[in-house]
Amino acid sequence: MSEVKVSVGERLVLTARIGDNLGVVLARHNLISLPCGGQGICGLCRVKIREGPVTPPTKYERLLGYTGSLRLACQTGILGDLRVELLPGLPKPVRLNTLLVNPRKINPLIGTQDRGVLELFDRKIDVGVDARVLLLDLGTTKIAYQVVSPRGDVLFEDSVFTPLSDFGLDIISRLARALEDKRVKDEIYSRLRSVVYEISNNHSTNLILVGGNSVMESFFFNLDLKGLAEYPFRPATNDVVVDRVGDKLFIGMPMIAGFLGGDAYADLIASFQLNIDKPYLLIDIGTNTEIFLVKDGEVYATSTPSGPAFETGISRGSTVFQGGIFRARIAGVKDEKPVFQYSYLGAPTGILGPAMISILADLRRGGFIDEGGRIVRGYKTLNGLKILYIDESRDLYISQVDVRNIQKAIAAVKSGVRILLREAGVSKNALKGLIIGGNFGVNLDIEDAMSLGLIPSVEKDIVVAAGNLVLPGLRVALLNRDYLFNYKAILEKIKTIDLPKMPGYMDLWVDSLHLTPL
Amino acid sequence: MLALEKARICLVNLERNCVLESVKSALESGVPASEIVLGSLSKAMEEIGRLYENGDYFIAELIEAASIFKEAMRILEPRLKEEASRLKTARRARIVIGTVKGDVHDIGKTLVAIMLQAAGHEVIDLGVDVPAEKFVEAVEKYHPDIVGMSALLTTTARYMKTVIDELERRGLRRSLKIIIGGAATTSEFAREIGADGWAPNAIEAVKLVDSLMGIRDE
Repeated sequence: MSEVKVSVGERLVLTARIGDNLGVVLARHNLISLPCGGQGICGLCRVKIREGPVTPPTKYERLLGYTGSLRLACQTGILGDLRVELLPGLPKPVRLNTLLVNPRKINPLIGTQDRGVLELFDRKIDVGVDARVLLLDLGTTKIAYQVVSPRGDVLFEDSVFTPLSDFGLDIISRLARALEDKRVKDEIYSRLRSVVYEISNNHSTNLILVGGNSVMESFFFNLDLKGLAEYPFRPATNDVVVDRVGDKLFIGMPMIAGFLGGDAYADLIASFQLNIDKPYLLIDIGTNTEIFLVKDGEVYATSTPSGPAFETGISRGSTVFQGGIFRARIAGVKDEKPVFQYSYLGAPTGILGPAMISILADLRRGGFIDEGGRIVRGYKTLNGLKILYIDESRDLYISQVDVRNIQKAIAAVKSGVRILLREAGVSKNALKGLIIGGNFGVNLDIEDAMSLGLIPSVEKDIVVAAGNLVLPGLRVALLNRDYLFNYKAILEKIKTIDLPKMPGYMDLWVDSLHLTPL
Repeated sequence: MLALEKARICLVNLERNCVLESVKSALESGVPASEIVLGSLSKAMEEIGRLYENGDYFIAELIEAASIFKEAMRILEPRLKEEASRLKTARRARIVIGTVKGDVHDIGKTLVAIMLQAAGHEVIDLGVDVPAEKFVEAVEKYHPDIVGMSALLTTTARYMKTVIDELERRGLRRSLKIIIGGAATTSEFAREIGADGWAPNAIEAVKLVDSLMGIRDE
């Protein structure tokens, strides 16, 4: 193994081996930190390569624009003697799981020269020179947040449960309850506010940027809910929502449509700042899946219900909160039955959505399930129902009815993508990028998802699992206020597609039930 | 009754040509059309229903089965009329169906309509986003035995009660049966809003209509 020299700055010289990861080498000597653990998403380990051979930029570096002399150390392999330069002012180590997207144009909401005074539409608000800002992704199951400085340095990141499970696990049930009984609406409002106040007070933030699905955001800002309850599903407003309570200022991202909320807006503007050619597809897989097709000057958008069926809609499903199997593969076949190998979080009591996709994909490849989704071999019959064991000793299995439910969820996404491509007049092969947003996508095996048609089959190289894109989008809005002030110009470019209303939707949906690539 | 048995097996296996040929040859050999429907095709549809419920068959198979059944019925129709069969007049219900106002989900409702038609009922499909007035108009115009309503969303399901109230207010409810379905509904909800029945899927919907019409399998 040949040794090489890595010169850092003017004086320091480290030794390393060819093929070593530059980020690991630098972090081992405590010269940099790897906030996202070397996943390449936080972009905080950037260094300048002055001289010397290194591996070409990875997918994540290309996406975040580190393809010149500026590189992400954790994505860079050492191929010979190097001279590198560390960048000054790296923020202190903080655990990050979120892509750090920097806008190309900086026009911060809180200007440094105006001493922390924020001009918001017609108002001037003093948030203080060393204000901290809370970015809040108000989800159906989880509230994810970041505390950032006005310059966008991430100081803290975490998430809490959305304390509303007793009003239903999905937004439609909560909406129905709140519409029937005003006290429920008030209770939801006050619970959301109190959990957010607690976070906000703990981190001394007075400015809070909020992105949520339309129902959650409307609850949070106490907006009228009626329009969200029925066709054509419209939020009370498409404007940026501003709410000032005491010394706290809440700003809600504009809601695009009934099932494309401020969270979808944040997703979209984050994607605008990635280095990705158009047309690209952005799919945020969650309880509700939002899909964007971004062309030059035009954005096609739709949403479709999908999520629960991957996890809560099946016999042995589980969610990340309960833990369970997150990765699984068929390792072999014994007595004509598949034998699985799996990894789990906590205890193997259930199966998480991404693992479920891999299980189904492997069962298809092994011919245990046919293209139409029918279990054809290797099964046991339990009360007239076919089941395929993943681990019989733990009573973990997938049933024929489970397969059917997953097929429906896949078809919801697949038919949505097909309709968007059709309406936008873009062929699958013309796509230059495919961004998978949401935490579901992070653990998803891209090839498995493609083999079933959950995501379109494109060159693997243009597919990026970006994780949560709502927080990056909120941060983009903080660093470039145009996204808060000129939101109307963006909304005007978005063409919202109502799937059930589209001609031929049912036939397309039925066809999309086939477990075949798209 | 070899042809009858063959038609049944072929329909379960979704073999269209085999079904149609078996039906024709049964007719030629003098089997009454009513017996072909009752003794063979309906039994096959029930079996297909069972296969659907345990997941062996799925939506595409259901649609295909209904389509084959319908084509077979076109061959049998003239003979059934000749026979003026008891079966036919007893079995057939007229059903007005629609997805309620505020909801544009089409698939579940359409599947129910297809299966009801395959079972020999007459279905008038009002489409989606159907307001109470349109249900009322259809009831006045077609005098159906049954009105079926669908909703996917919890928020729109509440509108079913509005439709029922309106039918009652107009004095149209008396002999009319109301059935509901859709992801947002349950049997308790059906009882609560005063519907006469609820079904979780298209197969159960056919059974429900049969039982409301007093049709029992012999």
